Amino acid sequence: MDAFFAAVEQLYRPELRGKPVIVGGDPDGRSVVSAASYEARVFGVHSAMPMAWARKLCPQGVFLPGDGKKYGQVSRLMFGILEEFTPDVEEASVDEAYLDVTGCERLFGPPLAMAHAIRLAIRERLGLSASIGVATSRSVAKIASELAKPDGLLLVPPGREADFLAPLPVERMPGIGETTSRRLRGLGIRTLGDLTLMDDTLLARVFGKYGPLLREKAAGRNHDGLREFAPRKSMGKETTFPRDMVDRPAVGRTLALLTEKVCRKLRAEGLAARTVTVKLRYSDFQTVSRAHTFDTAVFYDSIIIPAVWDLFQQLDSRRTGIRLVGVSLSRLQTAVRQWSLFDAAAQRKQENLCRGLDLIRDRFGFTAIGVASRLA
Amino acid sequence: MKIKVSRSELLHELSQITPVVEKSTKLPILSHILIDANRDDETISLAGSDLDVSIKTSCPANIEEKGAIAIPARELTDLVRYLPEDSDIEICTEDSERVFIISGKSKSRMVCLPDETFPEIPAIGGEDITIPGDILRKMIQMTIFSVTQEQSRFTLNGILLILNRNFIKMVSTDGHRMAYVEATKEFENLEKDLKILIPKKTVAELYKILQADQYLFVQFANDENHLFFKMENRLLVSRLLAGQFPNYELVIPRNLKNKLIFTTQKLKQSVNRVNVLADEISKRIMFKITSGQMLLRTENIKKGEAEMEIEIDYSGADVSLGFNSQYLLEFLNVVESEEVIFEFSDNEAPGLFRPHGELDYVYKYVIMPMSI
Repeated sequence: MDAFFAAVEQLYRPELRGKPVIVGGDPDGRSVVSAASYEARVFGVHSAMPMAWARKLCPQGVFLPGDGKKYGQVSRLMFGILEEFTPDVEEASVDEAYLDVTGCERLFGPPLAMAHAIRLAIRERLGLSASIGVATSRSVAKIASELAKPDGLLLVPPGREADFLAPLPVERMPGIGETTSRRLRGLGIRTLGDLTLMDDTLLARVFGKYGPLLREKAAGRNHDGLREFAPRKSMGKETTFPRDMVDRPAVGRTLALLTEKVCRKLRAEGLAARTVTVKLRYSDFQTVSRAHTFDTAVFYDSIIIPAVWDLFQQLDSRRTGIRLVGVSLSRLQTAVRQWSLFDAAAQRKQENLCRGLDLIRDRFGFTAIGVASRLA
Repeated sequence: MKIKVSRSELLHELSQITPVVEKSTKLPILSHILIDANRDDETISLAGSDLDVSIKTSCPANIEEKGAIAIPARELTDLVRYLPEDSDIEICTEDSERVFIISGKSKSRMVCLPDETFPEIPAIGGEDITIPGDILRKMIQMTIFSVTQEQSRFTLNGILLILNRNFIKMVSTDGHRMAYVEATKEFENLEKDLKILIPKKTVAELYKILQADQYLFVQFANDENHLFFKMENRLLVSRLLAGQFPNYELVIPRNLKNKLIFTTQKLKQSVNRVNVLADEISKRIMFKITSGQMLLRTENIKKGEAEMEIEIDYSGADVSLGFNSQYLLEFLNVVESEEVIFEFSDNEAPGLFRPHGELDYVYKYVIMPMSI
């Protein structure tokens, strides 16, 4: 979807149409832009940019805090439309999807015609514009859709993937991040075309097993299908303090609050976690993290919060202000309960307590009930 | 210092010590092995330590000049390993921080640390008790796997050793399962009952030593701060863990309603087979027990399902129990009897596994079930 959050806002509030709309956190605080309408992009505003900068670049912009509920509703409608075309839809994010249309020609015609029909359906029924890339693999399709933006459609014919990719800088390829691109540049490789000309042995020496795979990817030869079942690998929450924090107990309370929120989400998805990681960023941007692995997968606040607190104590070795804290849970599995040998009764109580809290919060919101220590 | 030692004898001793030596170099001296040639009995002593666990051993040597030095452990062991099998090695110091290691045509000079910087390894203290080596080894083997992997759970982080005039017991747990073994043995010179938590790392090192060589006896002693295990020329010294081990007696279930008997190998093979498709993280295997038959079943949303039927002598109510396959296999891998007894009551109560038949020890393994 094109400038999704901003476009949804413009859709619901016609007076905003044609105006630069910027969705993100508090523009006077430290949050970042989550979406900018195309009118705002003219001023150089783009997502992930600090809101304060966006305000400087585009003082006349309409700054909105974002409404996750509304975006979620529109997103569900959008996915509903996609599923009318094919059942093979991979949800990549709230406004991004991969569709496998193999075998759908009989119903909707060739992929290009089908892409056209999808764009039309989204425009007519949602009033939003979507960009689509059509190609023989996930990664090429993604790149094509990015190049098609805004409101465009780009087809890479089968067999022409390498030609299409060749002039593009290596960073365009999903999976080639900062580190890989830096190393590629070190080898004198700037474009995906350069990468296809490289020797496998050299690539293997620099990148290991991943090397030859990279080259295949650059040539558009890996026909990666959909990740039909892409189980979640981790979930987490982090927060940047409005002002750097020196008060350690207060930081601990924030961490406990984040943990409660993540744990609630964990339980809502019916999952349990083996590993918990705490992240700290100091005022000078030094970032440190530390993880703890439990003997079995856990999902209660009362087990995870003390572990988070211990990790925080072990991690926090400096006397500088703390800018950001985060908690994440990983090695997730479906919540299978491993009963405890020594305190099964306590375990049952904790479980009931968490279930009760979750029910109250589902109905009355997160702040309706909480642990008393947070009042301090 | 100037000594001559046999390559194979030195390597054997070094390989006992290197596992305890620190890999990280927070304290550089801890990555070294102390060689001390100040004794008069034609042996040198070798020692390594990470401050929690220390190993001291000895090796016959031809001492031409007394002295001592701390040599980098990994480099020394590797160097000795790559020398010809039946060669002799000459080790002589150049000064307090350099040593020559000469064998045949190979000559190396290594940068070392002076011996006085090496931490002192406490001498064996207290009355010692003699424990047969094979009993100790077997008891560790039967309990070591259920020690917790979580560093922070310090009261569980080891094996509980209980000695009394008439028996020796070991217990370990990670909070979800527990292994308990008890052997009858007279300890006449034991003055009062002993109940000590042996740290996990110490147990692991002790087990390695007991596996590498056969020892008739292990002499065990303790003082306020340390545990000592002496096996012939080898001494293992460990720091004592503080902390209250949970009340294990309370969680050993008694009077469980139902009882099944399995052929150990058959149960193990069945578990192994269905385990291939168990969920990677939860590792859950369902035991669906019905009259005359037990069905082992695993499910993995990504990979599929597996089932295995076992005939059983059972006529009670249907029960469905979930267990962590790793917990089951770790027990089935070490239990010695041909048959095992499995006792259970319901899907939230502990299950009890134990060997079936006449044995000269008691072995119990308690596992808490898993549920959705």
